Amino acid sequence: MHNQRFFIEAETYQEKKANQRVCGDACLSRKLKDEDRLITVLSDGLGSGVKANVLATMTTSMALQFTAKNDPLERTAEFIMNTLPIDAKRQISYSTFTIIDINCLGEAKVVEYDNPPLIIYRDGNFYEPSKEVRTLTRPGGRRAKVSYSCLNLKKEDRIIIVSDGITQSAMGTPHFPFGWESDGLKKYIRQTIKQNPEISAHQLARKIVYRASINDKGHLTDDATCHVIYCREPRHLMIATGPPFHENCDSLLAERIKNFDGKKIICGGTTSKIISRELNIPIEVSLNNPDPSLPPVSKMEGINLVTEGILTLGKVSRLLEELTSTEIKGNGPAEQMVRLLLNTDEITLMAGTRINNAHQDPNLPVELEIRRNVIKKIAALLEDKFLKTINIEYL
Amino acid sequence: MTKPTITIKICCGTMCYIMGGAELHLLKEHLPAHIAPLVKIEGASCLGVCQDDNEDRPPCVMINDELIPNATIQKIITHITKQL
Ligand code: FES
Repeated sequence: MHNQRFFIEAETYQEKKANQRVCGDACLSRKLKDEDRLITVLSDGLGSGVKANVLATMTTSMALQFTAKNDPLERTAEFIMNTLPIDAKRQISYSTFTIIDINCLGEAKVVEYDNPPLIIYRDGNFYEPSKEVRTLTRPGGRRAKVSYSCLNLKKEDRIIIVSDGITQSAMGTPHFPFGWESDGLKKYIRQTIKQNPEISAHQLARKIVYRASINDKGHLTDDATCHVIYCREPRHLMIATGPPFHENCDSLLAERIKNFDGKKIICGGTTSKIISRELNIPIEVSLNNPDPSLPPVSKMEGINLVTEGILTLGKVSRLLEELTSTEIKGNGPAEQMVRLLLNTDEITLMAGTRINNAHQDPNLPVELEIRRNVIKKIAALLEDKFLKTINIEYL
Repeated sequence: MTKPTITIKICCGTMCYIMGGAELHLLKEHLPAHIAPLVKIEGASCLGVCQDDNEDRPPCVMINDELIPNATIQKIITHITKQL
């Protein structure tokens, strides 16, 4: 997601308690494109395992829905507490939550209930927003303290939310008799960012969870989840695919690629020929191909990746559909493209609409999809599943 | 050492690839030992054959400056042998 001032990268990493099959924490983010708004909820369900997972998942999805509908946050908090199923043994229902709602201006509203307090890292220090604490009555007359805060995010700010599996890791060890706690965690965050000031949200979240696991000697004593929000300069990428419908737009396409400030991909034989001709950059086709299911990549100076068109796009779309994490194995043309795409925030797709007649031959051994459809599918996946900002320009 | 005297450009375009060109990329492994050192293999972008409406069909290769349509590994080897 992005707003006028910066791009927001939001990533979660989690590990389950040792010997459990599922994680009892849940973390969910949703980008509301029309409002340019990002909502994230992290919840820790009572206990561990499947039951905890159900509680946490219900909490995150309810909180997300209500917040997206702009219901007052107190009502949301109250509703969640009253709705969760009651544990038969302990006769309580319980899950914690932290809700962050960031609008298009970078203003964040935060609601916290029983999770470790969220951490805001700004300019080498930790920023403490003022909090308003309100008491809600839970079923059975028990009281619950919910805290509300607002903050204005700035470029290079990072917000870190964790479940208590992180802050309570190492508990009982001589070094940390009361656990790592927020202080230990903060120290680690500051150190890590100092060593690598541009560390991505995903890397930081993963490092924090790994460290908690080391604190627990490799056997986490509770589910550990970390969500990191990083406000930064957006990274841009342009893909040129397909020849323009009118030939006199060839030079325009080439100029756009040449002047683009960011990474560049050319996808398609004819397209690369056009750009090579217009910009006078030779194409070098390499025969060394790690993925025999696709034609090999080529090289052009100043372009990060040059691939074949429709077959490669088809595979990219399949890979994006199947991916469940941001780690990609393999180094074929499609994998290289997916890696570049996922490492970017804003993607401009220059889609040429001239149809390649050779591709329409009914005698072909495989059916070639229409480029425009594949592009639309890829764009939708990148936008909805990977929260990227996409612009498509047809020419 | 013998210098390569023959350059083979294998078309790496979409049409050639799906019409059997993928196999041609393995050409190097199929060249007889006495020919292999004389041949330099490169990739090329679409050679244009697929766009024309004549008999010539993909997959195709260029052997030196001669275009070979409907190429197979066997056809290429026969062609080179003739040239040597
Ligand atoms: S793809 Fe080989 S000639 Fe067009």
